[in-house]
Amino acid sequence: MKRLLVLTVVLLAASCAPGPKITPSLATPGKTFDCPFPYPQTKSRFIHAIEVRRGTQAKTAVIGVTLVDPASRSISCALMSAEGMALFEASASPAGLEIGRALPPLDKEGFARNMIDDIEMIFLAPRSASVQKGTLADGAPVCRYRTDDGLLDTVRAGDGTIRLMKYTKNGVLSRSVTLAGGMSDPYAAIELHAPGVFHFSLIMTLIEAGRPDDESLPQDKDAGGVNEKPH
Amino acid sequence: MHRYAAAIKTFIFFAVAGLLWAAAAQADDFVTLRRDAARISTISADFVQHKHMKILARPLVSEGKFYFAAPDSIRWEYSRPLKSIVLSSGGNTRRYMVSGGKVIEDTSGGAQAMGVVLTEVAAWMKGHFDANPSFTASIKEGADTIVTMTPAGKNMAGMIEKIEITLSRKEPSIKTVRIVESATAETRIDFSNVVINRRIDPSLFQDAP
Repeated sequence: MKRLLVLTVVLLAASCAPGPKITPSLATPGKTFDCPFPYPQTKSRFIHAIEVRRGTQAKTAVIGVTLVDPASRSISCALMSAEGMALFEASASPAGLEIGRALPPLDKEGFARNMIDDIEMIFLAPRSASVQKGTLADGAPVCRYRTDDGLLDTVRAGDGTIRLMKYTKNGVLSRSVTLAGGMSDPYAAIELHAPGVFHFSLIMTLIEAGRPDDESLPQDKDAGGVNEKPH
Repeated sequence: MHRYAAAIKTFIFFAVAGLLWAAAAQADDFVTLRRDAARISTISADFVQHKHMKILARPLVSEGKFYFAAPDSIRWEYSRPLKSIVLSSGGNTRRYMVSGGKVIEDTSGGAQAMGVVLTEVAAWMKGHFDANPSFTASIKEGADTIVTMTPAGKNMAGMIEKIEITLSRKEPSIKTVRIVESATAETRIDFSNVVINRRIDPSLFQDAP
């Protein structure tokens, strides 16, 4: 019984760890670096082929369209089948979320909010201007942002890829994103992994990228927009 | 799932029905159309699909091939930008996608919905185009024949406003299937190289690719 209690305490302590430990860059003089900043700095449109996987097994594929405006932090997105059927359309700005279309099973509660949050994580710079720089245990430079939901780590990995790691306030990894193209072409190939009970992965391959017209994005005149590149 | 199935059904149905109508392009009414469509044993065609949405600056263009063999075999294949194949034959429907360079079966719920869809499409192949209670159909004659389908019930409310099928009266070929989803969204499918009643290898309806 005592052992079980100790084990439970250890597991709870581990699950509440505030993300992986980082060594502050101040502790390693001469090793300063710029934070990875793959995010578009003007209004941009991306069209991706998206493969949906559960575990290692591919389940289905759709086409995703994403529009982002970093100045107003506005997002519009759509999912369509290969046949061209629009399955899901939504837009979001700091003023709120609007769902234009959601066919089953994409009409489930929370789907739209989670999708917009994932898009924001991938395509918009962190809101927080406060960043802690350091290195991970493997030596990779990391920039850690405190967010409303927990932590966001942006990592420039040794292989040139960029990794975005999102942790809950309890320190549990909730999303992991790899931008395989690194800084040169960050959105050419994106892998998003969502661990947990309903674990899934999205393998996104860029079909087309460009700049949208102004009418495609939700307007939010009150949005201040925090999009300063941390140095 | 029902609305998703209904929507996909509508897309595929009008593409298929459009091709059948194309083969009977001289028809002036649905009775003649039904009689002429009954003579069709196979169809093959290339298609280019233009998807218009407000979120897209310019249409998203998809390409592929379509095959039909009476009484109920269908192969609906997209080659780009997203490779996808739907096979339906003898009441058995499968959807395939490409993953890691390999063609694998799509096991999502959408594929199951497609099975329901194509079973119904196959039933319509018998030529009862104007018997679909979900739509009101009308034919307008001119330089081209334009068949307009308008949703009759609430099932398609908010999903489909109307479908226009433009047929050439000069030759047995369809020009366009235009599916209007809203004021800012529509899908246009242009067919080319339509071949009627030429033998199609049965394996095309059994195997992907």
